Amino acid sequence: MKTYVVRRLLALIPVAVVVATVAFVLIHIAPGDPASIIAGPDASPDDVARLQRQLGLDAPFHVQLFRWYGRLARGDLGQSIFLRRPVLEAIVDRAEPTILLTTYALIVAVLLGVPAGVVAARHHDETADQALMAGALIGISIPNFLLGLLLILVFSVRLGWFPVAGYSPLEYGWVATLRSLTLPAFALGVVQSALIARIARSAMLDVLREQFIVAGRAKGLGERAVVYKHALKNAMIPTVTVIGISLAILISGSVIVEQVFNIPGLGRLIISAVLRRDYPVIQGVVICIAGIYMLVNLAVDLSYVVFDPRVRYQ
Amino acid sequence: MKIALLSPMLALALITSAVAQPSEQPRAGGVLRVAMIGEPPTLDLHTTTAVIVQQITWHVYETLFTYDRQYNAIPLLVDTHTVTDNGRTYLLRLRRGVKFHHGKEMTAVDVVASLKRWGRLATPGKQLWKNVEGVEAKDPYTVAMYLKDSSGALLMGLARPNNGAVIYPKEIVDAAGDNAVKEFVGTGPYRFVEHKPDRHVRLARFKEYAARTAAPEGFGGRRTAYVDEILFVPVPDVAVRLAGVETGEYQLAMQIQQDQYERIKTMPAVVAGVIKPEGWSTAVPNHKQGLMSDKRIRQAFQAALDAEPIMAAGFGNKAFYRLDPGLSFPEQPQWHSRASADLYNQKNPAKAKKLLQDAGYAGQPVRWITTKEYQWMYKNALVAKQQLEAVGFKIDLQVVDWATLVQRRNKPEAWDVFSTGITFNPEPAFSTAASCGWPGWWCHEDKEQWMEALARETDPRKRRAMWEKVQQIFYEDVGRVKLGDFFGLTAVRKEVRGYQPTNESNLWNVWLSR
Amino acid sequence: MSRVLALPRPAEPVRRRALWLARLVRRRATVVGVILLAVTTLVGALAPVIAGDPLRMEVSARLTAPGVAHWFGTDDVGRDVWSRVVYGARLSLLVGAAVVLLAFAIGLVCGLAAGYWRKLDNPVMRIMDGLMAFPAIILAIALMASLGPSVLNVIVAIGVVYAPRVARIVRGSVLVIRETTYVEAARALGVPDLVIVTRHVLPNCLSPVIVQASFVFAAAVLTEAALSFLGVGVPPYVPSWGNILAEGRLYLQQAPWLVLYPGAAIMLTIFGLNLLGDGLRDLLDPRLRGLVRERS
Repeated sequence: MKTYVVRRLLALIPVAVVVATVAFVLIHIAPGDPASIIAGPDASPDDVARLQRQLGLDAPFHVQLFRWYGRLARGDLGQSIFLRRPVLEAIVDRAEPTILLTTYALIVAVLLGVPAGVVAARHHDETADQALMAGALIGISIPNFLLGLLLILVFSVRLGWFPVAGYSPLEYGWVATLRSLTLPAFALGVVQSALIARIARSAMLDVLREQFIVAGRAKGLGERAVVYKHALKNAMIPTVTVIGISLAILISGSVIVEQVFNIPGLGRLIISAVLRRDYPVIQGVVICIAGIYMLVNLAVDLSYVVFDPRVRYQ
Repeated sequence: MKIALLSPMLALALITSAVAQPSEQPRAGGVLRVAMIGEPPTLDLHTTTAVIVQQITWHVYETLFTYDRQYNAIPLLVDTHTVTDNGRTYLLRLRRGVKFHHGKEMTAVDVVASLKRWGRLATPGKQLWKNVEGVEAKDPYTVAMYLKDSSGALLMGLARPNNGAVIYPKEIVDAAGDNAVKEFVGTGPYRFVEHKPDRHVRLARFKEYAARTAAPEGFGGRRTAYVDEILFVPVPDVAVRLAGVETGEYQLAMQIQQDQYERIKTMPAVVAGVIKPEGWSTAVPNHKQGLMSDKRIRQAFQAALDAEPIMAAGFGNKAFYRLDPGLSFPEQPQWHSRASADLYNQKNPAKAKKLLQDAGYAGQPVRWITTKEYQWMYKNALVAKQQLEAVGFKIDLQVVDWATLVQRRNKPEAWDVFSTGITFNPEPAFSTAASCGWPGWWCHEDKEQWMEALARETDPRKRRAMWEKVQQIFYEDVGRVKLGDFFGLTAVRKEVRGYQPTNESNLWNVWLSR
Repeated sequence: MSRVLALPRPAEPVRRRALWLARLVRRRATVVGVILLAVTTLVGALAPVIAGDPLRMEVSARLTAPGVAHWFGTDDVGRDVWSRVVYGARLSLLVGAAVVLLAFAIGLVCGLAAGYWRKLDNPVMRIMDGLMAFPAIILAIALMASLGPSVLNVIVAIGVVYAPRVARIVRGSVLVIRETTYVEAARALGVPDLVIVTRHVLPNCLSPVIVQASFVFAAAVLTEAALSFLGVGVPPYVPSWGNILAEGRLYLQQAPWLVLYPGAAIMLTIFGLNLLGDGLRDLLDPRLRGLVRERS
């Protein structure tokens, strides 16, 4: 088991290097030279030249690249042009809404998706199954921003149950925060729950056909024991995988949904950075999100140690 | 010297839905959340004409004079003033005991430093300073301004809120030089607390505010900070802005789409505030550099446009826009003129095509920067683009956020045309529509002479004739391309009392009933 | 001296393909998917014929409800929504197909290379893993920031984002195929690697790849709509379902047709693609039923 864990951790390193390199390259594939892009449309040629020297942009490419790695290792993500503060600070400032939204959406997705998938598997090929799977198919076909707009139309404008947009920070009370995040969380979570439902269902179906389940039934174990104790635990592996992937999809989905609901999170941060060509922020957010994604994947892989005994003996 | 008197019709024209219940007692307390079109490009009022900056910062900073109901100049930070030497020397006696937010008392040295900076950096300031010989502090509470010639416009210039001659502490002025000020300290009823870009600008009541004693009149008289805090929230999405007022998340939303007017009237908790007039929509050509510096191309641009669909697309509701050639508004009969009306809204594609041919236009793209944060600017540009392309123009429409547009328009090599609105202005001498230093760099010899004369002249009839001359040159030389007048729409919640919808939008003397 | 022998191709007769087709048609859901896709394709292909000018603004007719003159109504500057939705279909299909081609071209090359030549496996797959460490839309947004708004850039950005996922699947197949006896035999006989890869390995790893084509297509359509909705996709004057939705937001209450029609178009197209993808997967690769990652 230990070797498994260590191997997984080591495997992260080259991926992290690639992530850092991709983020670095972003500013160099843009048309125009990086210094004048960072300096902004307002700067004079002298400012641009000064910035070039200051940021070492006149050094050869590979030197710049290594300096970039060094800065990242120190946690220095640079300075935002537009916001005029360190990128890391801007990200930490905006993290709260995105983290809360993603967590809420994940809870919605899991609470809706896993039971749906399990129920569908239990009633395989009956109406419940067909209906749930049809619903799930529709769910993965609807873009989350469209669902968000429709939810606003029905639940905010017509019924007035939820605020139409905006985010209430935690410091003003968690009830208001939850209220402001409910519609976005559902817009994100419902779509994701469809995916989880489909995977959970097929995972359950596969497991239910396995030998040891048949044996368990033959042994005379109650249906409930069969389903919930044995099958579910084994179906957890692909399900947990999908939940892990869902977290990553939700983080990226929140980018879109934050725009629809005007939530000042990381999504809004990166979109406005793109529109303003604030490259340090784009690079910083992209690295942070990729980093979270990598950690989530790592956690999912490490969770196999718990769920799959076979892993422990590799 | 007479302060220019504006027609009472103007005051009447600033019609609002009644928001204040006269019998109700104002109460202090609460947080007022105002949804704005986006981020302010800066908080240094000396450096920009962007209306959003004035709407936020004039609660923090104050000018020497301000406007009353009729848009006449009345004293604010000044106590009394005398004019001597045939109108060439102004002695401004400052009020005593006016504190800055950081505790220091405002004295003449602060005023002198601020005025000099304003004269150096601000568009109306630079215009006014052409006539200024010097400014000095005669004693701690007296400032002397020496003019080269008498002026009919000085006090109005000092009263102007937009890009206004606000008073900063001397040390902050000195520290900033020509760069934007780093600290935002003024004498106003609210003090600056924090600016979190993309989140809010937060102001809080200034407890030691030295209010004038007279009853409020227009923007003058007593300014009382009833609400504890004001939060200006950037909400670039107009749908979200309006929806936020509907649900109570914001109490006030600026720049609402005019075609939402009927909808707002059906909302039980919201009142529609109409700002009539708000401004006129315009496309500003670049006279300094690029394609539009060629007069024939400008004239072709102007000739091709059909204003009705352009304005209809931008503003929807017919009650909210008006086609009119004047540089000033019909609500200002002492300034409004129909001179050169034949060059406005020409709808003449044949003439445009011929002009393009004469100019030898070979299809080079005309870079037009606009923004969706002011929805109407984008729609105006979109429809105009279609009309221009029908006569042979090639338009490269670049859509950016307003803060970026305001920055980019300072660089002559970056654009050929940009969208903006010329907001209502009671004093034409400082109008950005006719200013040479303002982006667009429309510098025309005759026009400059008329503008300078306008600033000095005191006889209202002569001034009007001069402004008319400027208007003629405006059309003939295509200084800017006027698209049409428009009225503004704000959405205000019923619990907001005392709010008068104006372009400048003041939030002092405004309270929340619950 | 070595002669390239014409080795017997592993069983891939035409007979097998016909069987697939028959089974495909028998599943009603898949047929529905194909029909939806065909309708969208037809509509998009025939756009110049069945639709008017999507850019023409008839301001006097702005915000008219769907009716005889304008089947889907008009938007806030008087553009015909039907025309815009139809041209939006054209764009979505163009982008979807181009992305699939691009992603598969890159993915196949990388996957084959990584799977077949051990030395290339690690470096190539590390790069693929690195790219996959970014959630798709985030990487697409960042790439669009650098490249600038244009239809071509959207295709490139989304194609690059999905290529690694294809590469991984291809590599998986190649690893298996590489160990089969006939490939070993070919190697033993001295057949050049490149020939083996192109003639024997490639055709056999195609079936899981084809399954993915439908999902990648759907993901591309969705991603393009999202990017355009956010304002970082195709330029605003190119009619795209995402653009139309973004501009129709304000009028959700008074002119819901601005959101409902493009929304329905997106949903039906993606729904059709997913049905098709499901059908293909169930038929071609029963193994993958429990494991495939559909929308990462």
